[in-house]
Amino acid sequence: MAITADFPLAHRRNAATGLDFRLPGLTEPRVVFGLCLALYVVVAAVLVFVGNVLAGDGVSRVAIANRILFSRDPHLAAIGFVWSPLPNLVLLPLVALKFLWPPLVRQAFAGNLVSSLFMAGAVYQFLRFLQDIGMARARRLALTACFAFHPMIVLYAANSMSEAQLLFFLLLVVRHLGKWLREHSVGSLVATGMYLALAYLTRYEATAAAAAVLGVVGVATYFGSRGAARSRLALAAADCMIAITPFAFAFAFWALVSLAITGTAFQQFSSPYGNTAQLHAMGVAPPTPAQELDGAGLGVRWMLALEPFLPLVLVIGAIRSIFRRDLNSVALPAVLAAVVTFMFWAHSTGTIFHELRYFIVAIPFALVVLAVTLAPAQPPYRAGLRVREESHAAVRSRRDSAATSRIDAPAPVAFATGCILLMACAIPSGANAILSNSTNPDQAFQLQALLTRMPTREQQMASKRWLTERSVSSYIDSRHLPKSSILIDDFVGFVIVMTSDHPNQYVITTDRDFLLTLSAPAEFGIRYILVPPNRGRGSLDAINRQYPTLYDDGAGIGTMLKQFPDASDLQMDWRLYRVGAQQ
Amino acid sequence: MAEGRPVSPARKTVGRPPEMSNGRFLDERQRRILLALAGTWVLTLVVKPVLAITILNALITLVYVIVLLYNAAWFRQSLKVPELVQVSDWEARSIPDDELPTYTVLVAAYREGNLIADTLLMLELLDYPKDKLEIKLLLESDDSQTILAAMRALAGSQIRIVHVPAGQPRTKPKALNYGWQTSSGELVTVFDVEDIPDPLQLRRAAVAFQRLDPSVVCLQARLQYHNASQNLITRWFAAEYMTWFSTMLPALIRMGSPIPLGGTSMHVRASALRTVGGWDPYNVTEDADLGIRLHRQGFRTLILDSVTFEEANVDFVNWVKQRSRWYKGYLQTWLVHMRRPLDTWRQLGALGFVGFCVVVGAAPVLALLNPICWLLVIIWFIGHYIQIKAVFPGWIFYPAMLCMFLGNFLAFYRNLVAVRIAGRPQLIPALMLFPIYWLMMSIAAVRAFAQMATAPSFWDKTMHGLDHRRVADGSELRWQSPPISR
Repeated sequence: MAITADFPLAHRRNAATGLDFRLPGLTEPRVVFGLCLALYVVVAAVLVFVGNVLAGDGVSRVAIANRILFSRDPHLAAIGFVWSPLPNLVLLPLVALKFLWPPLVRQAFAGNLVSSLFMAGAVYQFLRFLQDIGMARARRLALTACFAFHPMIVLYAANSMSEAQLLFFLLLVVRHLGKWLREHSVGSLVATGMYLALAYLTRYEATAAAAAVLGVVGVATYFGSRGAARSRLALAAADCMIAITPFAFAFAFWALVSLAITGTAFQQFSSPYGNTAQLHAMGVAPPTPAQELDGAGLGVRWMLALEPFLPLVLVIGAIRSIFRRDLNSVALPAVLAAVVTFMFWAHSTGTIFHELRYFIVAIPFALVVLAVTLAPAQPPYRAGLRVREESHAAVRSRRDSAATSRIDAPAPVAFATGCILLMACAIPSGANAILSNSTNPDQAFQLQALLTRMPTREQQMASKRWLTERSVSSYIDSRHLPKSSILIDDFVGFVIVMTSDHPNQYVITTDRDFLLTLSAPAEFGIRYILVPPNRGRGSLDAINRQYPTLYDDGAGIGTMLKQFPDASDLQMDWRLYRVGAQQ
Repeated sequence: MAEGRPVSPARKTVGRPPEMSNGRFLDERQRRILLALAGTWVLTLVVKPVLAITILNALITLVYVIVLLYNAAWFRQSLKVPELVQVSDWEARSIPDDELPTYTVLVAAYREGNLIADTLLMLELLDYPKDKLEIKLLLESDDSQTILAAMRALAGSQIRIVHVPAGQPRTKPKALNYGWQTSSGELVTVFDVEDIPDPLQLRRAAVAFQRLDPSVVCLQARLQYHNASQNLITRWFAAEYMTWFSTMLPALIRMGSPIPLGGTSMHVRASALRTVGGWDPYNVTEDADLGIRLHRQGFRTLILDSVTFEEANVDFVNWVKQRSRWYKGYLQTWLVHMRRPLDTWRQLGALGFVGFCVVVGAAPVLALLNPICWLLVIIWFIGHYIQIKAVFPGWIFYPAMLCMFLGNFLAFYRNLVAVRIAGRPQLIPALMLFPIYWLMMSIAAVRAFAQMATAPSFWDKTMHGLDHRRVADGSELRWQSPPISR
């Protein structure tokens, strides 16, 4: 704002150091945020406290936050370096409050609260995005509902996984990139870059989004600015750097911290607990070309299960953007398309486990494509043409004048209604997808058990996950053992340590003396060892790797004291060994 | 604008003008407190060395954390459209001459005979009614070479030579005080000999002062370099100045922080200058000090959207001399205003006080500490020495590590953004080598601290006229900011 005649007013406003202490008003996005948050928390409570539906990765993040704060050797490096740090870090404040309400950690409910918060935030950002692109109220609320009430979105809002955070940051990236394309403000480009970095620190998939943003920014600036090719190239390079530098620093930061603490920069690939090792342990072999084709087919089916009309929306969007000659309508979906494509590739080539959740980005992708298709055409991007005095009002008035041309106007009501109804079909289809064993093998039984009065055997087994670990934990607690007397690898046994009232009984993997203790348990005062069966994920257990036959015969270092048979489908029958020579 | 006009409704009453340095860095009380602290620390070091180093470590980390947070805050502010005071060419020209206030322009020169002729040319170009403009060339009375050159060039001009009596301290602020005390202008400004100011700058400032609230007593014009692309050092320097004048200072003003003024092209109401007692003759960055003292009196400073082109230092040794003088002056300024820290706090407000400490006090200290921290990091990566680990417990280690990453990120990124906002992407390759520039700053900081002890008020003269070519007239220069939105 240039200071002109209204200066005294501006002075008064800014004299108070620019801070503005007004209570937040009840705007439309805030109301929607509050309603969604309430809905997601209720669903989360039902999942956790009624159905015992716990997502393993989500629970393990709470366990990690818990061990950072409350283990025998509390230190931040216990965060682990296989997965991105942010989802664990954001849990710390809530986990620290576990003394107020033990289920926050005992039931890992802190994770569910955080994922609800982020998903409600994602809905908020989606709605703000629709406002930004000038979509009328009725259709923007309808599209927001298609997002917020999609069963997959509701489930991942409630089930404590980091998908919610990923969607939140990706939608922030889309929103600010859109703002930059419209208004060409360096601030929006900086925001885009910052949120990309946060998305990377949340999930590695964000790398694909970063590549897409780089492409969009480079192309937009190069073709949108005036002057000689050389100077346009310099401007494009500058804008690309502003967009990517935060991401690059985040990437380097995480790799260097990992290198400093663990000795390797990319634990994801090299750690014995990393994705690569897990795939190997679960017997997932590198697929043959034919299997890759099968994997791709499966991926397409799953994506269509989540968004049945995605191909149709893509066709409609493509046709409309060709007629409009509108780069914006391609640029914004491209960010999400990059992530979807990357996950699709990883799924087909067997780089990741086959899980429905990896396709969740397809949902906002379809909706963003439809949104830019139904919205009025965005003003064309022209760097340098935009003077900084140009306000939102000027942009709006240009948009209004653009609305006189039919193709640039918002889509007609009938057409928009039809499209939105198509998107609404994703709700029943998505419900079917998350409840069906063929599309959601990992979780379907658990969810079915919650909805039926007469659960089948499989459903019953699925709903008994982690109960054995809880009973192990309370059994150990009841024996009142001294500090540092039990050895356990908490990669597999995280629930045992997490639910314990006295976590300092356990010597765990991230303790700095763990490897030493593991090499000679008796000498370091270990009295008991807890060990899972040496198969599947259990074969990654550090104790099993050191003493492969311990589970079966004590490996000459201990005698079995107790077995805890697991009634769930995970079949983790824990055994407790007393350290000492075999009798 | 009459002289006797009430200066500022916001002005706080202070019993006496804020203290001047009187040529000493520390007053008696500061000296005693500092000695006591140092003594206690050394004693602790002898008894419990790990504890002593850990405490020092914690304090340093705390400083870094505060600096990081404050820098992040102003960076965020700087992304909004800046509050520059804008006066268009048309507005500046259309004001009738008889409505303009009288203006005093002070130009201090010492051993710059080679530049004087150019300087006078630039001053002649200033668009202001002759009868209201008083230009004083302040020359040291024993600097006969410059005096001769000036007298030769001055023939027939209205510029007056003022002979500043020789004697200590031989500083620019002493010369400015001497020249200003006998002048009558309602508005006062300072230019350097190598400056190329916007010819309309005085008129713009005059119009702005008439329009603005009386509490605004100072307008700092934006400084840029006309020889930015001469070599790597000038590129770095130019990028730094873009960050400073186009993003940082406007953001600081928005945050209510005092700003260190630039040494030239600051336009100030004479009445306010009188209130604060002129310049501190012993301070080697009298400009920064003046900015703080004006703010302490409740006066406000804004940035005028009008450019003065300066000559960027092209030579390494020359650059280090200049920068170490700046650092020395910043330290001096900070210490002087910390003689009564509670008064300063009360007058600047909490946020303003933090801003003052970060921008003025921490800059030289961190420039000194940065290479030590880098060295520690490298040694740690190589050897994982247990001794380093012992003095970095987790509660220091994690904040310190975060500061290192985020601090370096921010230091790099804000330059990148500033260069883009200024529309000068050609400077980006130089930014990639910016860490070398940081190292140069550290060398300057070492020199500054050494001089602080040996020659506190010694004015290390910066050589001018090393640029390749002087711009003959201002026609090819852009005096107002480019139309790029944030």
